[in-house]
Amino acid sequence: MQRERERWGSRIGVILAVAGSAVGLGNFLRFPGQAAQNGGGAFMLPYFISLLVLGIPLCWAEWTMGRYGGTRGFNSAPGIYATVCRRPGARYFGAIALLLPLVIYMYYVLIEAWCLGYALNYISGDLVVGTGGAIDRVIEQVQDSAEPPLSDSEAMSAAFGSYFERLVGADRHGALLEQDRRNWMYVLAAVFVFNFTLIYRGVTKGIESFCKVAMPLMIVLALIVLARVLTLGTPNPELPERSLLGGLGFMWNPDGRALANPQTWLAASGQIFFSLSVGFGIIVNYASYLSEKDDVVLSGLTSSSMNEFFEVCLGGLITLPAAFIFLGAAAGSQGTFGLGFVALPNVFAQMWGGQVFGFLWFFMLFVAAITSSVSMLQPVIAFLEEGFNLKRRDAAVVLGMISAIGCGVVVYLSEGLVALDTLDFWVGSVLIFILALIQSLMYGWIFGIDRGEAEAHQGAHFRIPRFVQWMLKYVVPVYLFAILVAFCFNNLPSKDVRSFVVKGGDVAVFETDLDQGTLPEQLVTEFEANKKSLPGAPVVIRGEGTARWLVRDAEGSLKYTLAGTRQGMRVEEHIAGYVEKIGGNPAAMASVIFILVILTALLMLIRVAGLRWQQEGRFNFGDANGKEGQS
Amino acid sequence: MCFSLAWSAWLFLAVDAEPSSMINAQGWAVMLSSITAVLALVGFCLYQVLSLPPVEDEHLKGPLEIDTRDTD
Repeated sequence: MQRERERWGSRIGVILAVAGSAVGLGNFLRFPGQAAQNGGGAFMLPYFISLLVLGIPLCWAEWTMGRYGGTRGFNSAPGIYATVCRRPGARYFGAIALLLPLVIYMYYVLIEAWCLGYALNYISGDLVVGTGGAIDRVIEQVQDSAEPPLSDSEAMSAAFGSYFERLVGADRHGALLEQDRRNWMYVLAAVFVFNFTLIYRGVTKGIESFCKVAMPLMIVLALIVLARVLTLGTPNPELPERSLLGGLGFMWNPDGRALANPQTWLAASGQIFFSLSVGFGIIVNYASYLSEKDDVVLSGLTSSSMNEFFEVCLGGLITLPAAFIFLGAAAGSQGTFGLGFVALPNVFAQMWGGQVFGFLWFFMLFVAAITSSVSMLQPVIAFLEEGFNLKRRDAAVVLGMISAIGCGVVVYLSEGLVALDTLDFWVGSVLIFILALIQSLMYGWIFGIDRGEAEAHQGAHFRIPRFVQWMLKYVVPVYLFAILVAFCFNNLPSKDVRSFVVKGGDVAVFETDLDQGTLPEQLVTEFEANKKSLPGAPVVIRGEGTARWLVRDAEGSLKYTLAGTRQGMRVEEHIAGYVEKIGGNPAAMASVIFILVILTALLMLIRVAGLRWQQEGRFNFGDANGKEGQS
Repeated sequence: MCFSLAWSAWLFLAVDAEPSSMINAQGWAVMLSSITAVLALVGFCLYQVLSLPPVEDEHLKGPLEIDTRDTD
């Protein structure tokens, strides 16, 4: 029995929904950090080239394939891939397209709860310094335990870091389940229920209606915060370089040398790729609710350009300039979470009206995160509905239980955010590249660019230049493969990065201490001077056969290597690759096993659903246009 | 193409000696050109989308679609 097809209610509705899916924390927190670390304004050249060569063509390909599958009766990736490839076996690629949004949702909903929690804490005054709230107590604790004493600004930075670590339970596994942190669990539960309420209401009444309100609301909130940032001036006259113009210079002044560095190009391509939500399995699902007459070319370009508006025009002007004005150049070296949840609250604490602007900022991030997370649920709901003929309510209940279990795993394995980081790397990064590569090959080499071009132009309001099709066939897969290889090369193997050399020190004197398993006092001082943190109880072991010593933490993980050289003692920091992390950390191993279990379950479900579709004759692909398979 | 080549050559010359200095001429140019380009693109797209008739109207006014199958 075929169910009635869901449809988008309006043209602008689907555009806002796709743009809402793409706009998230990465636009406001990841993009500015990437730009500042990779040549500032010079980053924009590879960024825009990647947008034109990789981002927009891939978007068009996904929109086209999604609508093609949708008009032939499929809304879920397994069915759409089988239809596009005209082979029932191709449905198994859909397992990745279901795994991706499902697993990303499991940790993204947690980040969403952090945003809402921060926004609520601005209302309650807990994050406002000087009101006797929670952050004041943390500052006191930090100052009491610091030896030597910290300055006020140092104590505040440390306190916001400590507050965030406590919020996310980074101190130990299971910390978030303790009695005194239950409030955060209630926030998480509320966010979870809100997501499922939207998804239960359906594509038009739920996702589309919400995005029609949420996207304009985000623009208004971001513009208010932007107006405040642009009027900050020079808050501290003693530090004249820390001004609005200094902040803009920090973000936008181009360093031309960065263009000669392949890392810049890799970072720009990666940013475009993650930002546009291509390779997530979401666009194919959303586009499948379009009719044959609906435009995909203008809609795809509009949603991509709206995402760029949030990223370049808002993210590029707000986050880093504001952080630089109050925190200086150190703000640029922070990661996404460090910038968003440690540096920016510190900025709002020092800003006039910080309580209001802090609330507006984190509420906007929360709204941005909701529009993304709700889009992650829809592909799996669609699969459960059409694969097993479940009613929407039943599909939402089943998915709710599965995602709650996954979210529970991430909540419990919170120490050092290992589970979140592992899921984000293997699913939220590596698998996205792989799925995008599969989809680009599917479009260019199986679906065919001639068919793709004809399909894309049905109902289109302007034509895609022919060379874009050639790029999709030849350039995009090669470009994607190159980025994937470079990304894996950078992240999978472990590395020993040269940190500093203790010159003038007598290596022979150090050797005696090191052989006894203790770090010489002079070396400890040098670590502090070079801002390198040593593990709490370092274990020093001599390396085999050479004048090398290994510094490990209490769990046995290698942190530093010390090597006696003619110049002195060379210190190399050990950066564990993701392969080593799996072997060295049970939580990381558990997270990878969890991914494999879900993938296996999805493959089995896809097999069962495929057998059902075959029995119903839905895999009758008919002629080259696949018209007989239409529902 | 010529524009992007000129832009990249110009960026190569813009070796920033003091990364934390005030925004300079190149910084202003990159910032304003990036924002202008994005605003122009999003403005053009939204104008096109919002000025189109609703999908139902388009279909009503479209040509008759009768598949006679004489091309099969």
